[in-house]
Amino acid sequence: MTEELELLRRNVRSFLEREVVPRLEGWERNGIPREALRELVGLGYLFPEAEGVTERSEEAAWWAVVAEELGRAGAGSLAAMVESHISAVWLLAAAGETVERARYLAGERLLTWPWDAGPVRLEEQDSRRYVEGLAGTVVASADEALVAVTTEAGKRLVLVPLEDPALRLLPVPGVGLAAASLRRLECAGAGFREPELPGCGDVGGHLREGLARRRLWLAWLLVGLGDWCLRQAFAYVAARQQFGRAVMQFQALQHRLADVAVGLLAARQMANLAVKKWGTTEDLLAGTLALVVAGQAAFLAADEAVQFHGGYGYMLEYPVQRTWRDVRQLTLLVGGPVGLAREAGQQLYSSPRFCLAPLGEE
Amino acid sequence: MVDGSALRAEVRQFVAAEIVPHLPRWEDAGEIPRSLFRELGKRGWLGVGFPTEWGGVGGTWLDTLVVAEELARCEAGGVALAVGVQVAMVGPTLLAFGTPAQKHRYLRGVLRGELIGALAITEPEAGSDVAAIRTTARRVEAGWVLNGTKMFITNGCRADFVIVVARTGQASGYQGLSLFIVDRETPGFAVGKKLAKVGMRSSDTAELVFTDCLVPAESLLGQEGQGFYHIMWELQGERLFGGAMAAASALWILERLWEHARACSRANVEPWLGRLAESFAAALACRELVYDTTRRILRQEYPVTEVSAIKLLAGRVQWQAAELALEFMSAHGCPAAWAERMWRDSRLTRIGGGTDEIMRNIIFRQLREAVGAHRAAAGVSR
Repeated sequence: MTEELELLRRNVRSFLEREVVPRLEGWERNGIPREALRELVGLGYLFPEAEGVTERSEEAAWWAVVAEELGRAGAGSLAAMVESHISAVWLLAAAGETVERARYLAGERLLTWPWDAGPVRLEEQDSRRYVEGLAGTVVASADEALVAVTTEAGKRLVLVPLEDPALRLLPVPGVGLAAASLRRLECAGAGFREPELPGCGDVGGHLREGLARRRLWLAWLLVGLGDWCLRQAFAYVAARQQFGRAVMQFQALQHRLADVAVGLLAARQMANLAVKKWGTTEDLLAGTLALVVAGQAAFLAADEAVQFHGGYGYMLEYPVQRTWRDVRQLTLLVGGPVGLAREAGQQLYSSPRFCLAPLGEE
Repeated sequence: MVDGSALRAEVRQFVAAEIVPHLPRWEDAGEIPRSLFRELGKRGWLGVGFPTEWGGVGGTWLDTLVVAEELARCEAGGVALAVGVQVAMVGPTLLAFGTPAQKHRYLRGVLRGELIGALAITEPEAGSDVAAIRTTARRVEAGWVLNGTKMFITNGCRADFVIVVARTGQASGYQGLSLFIVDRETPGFAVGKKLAKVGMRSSDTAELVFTDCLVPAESLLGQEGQGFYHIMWELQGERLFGGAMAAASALWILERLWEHARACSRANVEPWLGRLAESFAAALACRELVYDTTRRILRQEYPVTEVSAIKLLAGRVQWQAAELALEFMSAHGCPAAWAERMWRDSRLTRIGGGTDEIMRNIIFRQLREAVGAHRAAAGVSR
């Protein structure tokens, strides 16, 4: 890791420990205030370009550090909100948006890019233009949702204001990410505005890239969350006494802790590969596979952490159950373990060669 | 300097042309021919990663991994295992602990493929528990006298020499173990029996018996009483190499499946694609961990946790891929010899070279130490 990235890691970690970790439990009960999200976004840590990093390999490593640290702090809900904003900002930037860019980077205007939006189309009636078919999970405290719409000329990006009366923001009956103000967005004829993009070309390529970026970022978040769970579990089994000794001394637990650690090691490697592949034709496949592995490893870590806490793991008083739920919810947001693996398999199937080459062949 | 890309292409071509066609015969015979060792040696592939001073061709462990990965694509785990013992167990142990005379006499022959070596650690009553070794080496005026039995020794049936772990001191447990080089013709050394295995059949496996087996003093390999530590060092390379082979084997299996899948209609393979991707991702992650860990070793680090994790992961991903292959090929009406062979062969990875359970023990101990060190550094008392 470069000196710059190490400094970034130290800074982000220090900020999260100081400003975020003490507030997590309160947020879990009352939701994360918009101001907290704006404050974090405004710090500039989230955007490598704001710090002058423009090389592709460097920006991916930057995202990895930030996402992992958010996970290591156990801040799943905050991370989900952050991710939705920065993915939207990245996508707009990739498409050439510059007019409002500074406001997005400063957190003055918050965006959300739905994780699971289906195809959306533009309609026009009585000279009024609106979006139809929009449905997806968004961060309700954002100002606008970034939506890709299908037109005859290809994919275009539009911004849908979340306060539009034609939108319905329904509660998400999810198991986790309770503090992230996630809502199921549905609309019947909502208005929109078009960001100022140079040219009116198809943004399909940017969308694909944006998805690869999103998956890389979330894979690192899950690696971090898994690491948080492992540390929580370790601390608990070292302190908890049963049968006259620390429960850590029982081999039945030791081997399972080892399995959790190994799963996370593997996930970290796969997420690293996604960083290395960023900006290549294989970045989406690598990002998807990284998310598959990270999702499995993080959930194993979270589930075992709950189990190792025994009855206390089931109590809201202990934060381990929060991350357990957050990890599951995160994996569901991006398609679920089965759906994501199937999608990766479809990408593999469609690939002209059996790819992601070995040593010396990259 | 080794050109990894050219090396990969050459070994791959050789494996396809000179190994795969002969597999049915070698599997039946229960061994690979000596000529294969000689041919691999002649081409320099047994000496990749070894210094030229002792007959190697130079390069680093990263180059050695290229050979390992390509040999692992040969459709039979036994071939890779037999060669792996030579390259990753016997060779490195001789290089690290041998005297110049021992290196001259044995290492050169090993790297040329003219000598076949074996490493004898396990005993009938000492499997995972290396400290329970009972084979003894008693010092006498003419050297050392070995007595004991070794079990599950790869290449043991026709090895020209065997590196034997024996107890030389009165101390029990990990103390008082030493290594010896025993020539095949030494009186008192015998192959007890050739063991019949469920898989890995093109590699021979033996029980070896030492009965008042007198070896000269210069047969001692490494420091007297340090055998356990020498073996623990050796096991790191063995596990890394074996893990690289297993991960590559998994990827090769999945590549074969991918080819079969591409030949089928999308509808027919759709239900399998998720599992294929999951196996692929797991195998890739393992391969990346192999590369990353090897680079750390080249930087003079000693990443025991990662090496043990590789061993554990690699056994799992290889098995997962072999399971998928067996089921996929059967379900599509084309049961294949390679699939059933890899299913049998890959099961050994989770047992040999340290079982999965031993790997978990090691990983947990390392984790505990790391957490302890972290707390100490942070000034937190336990």
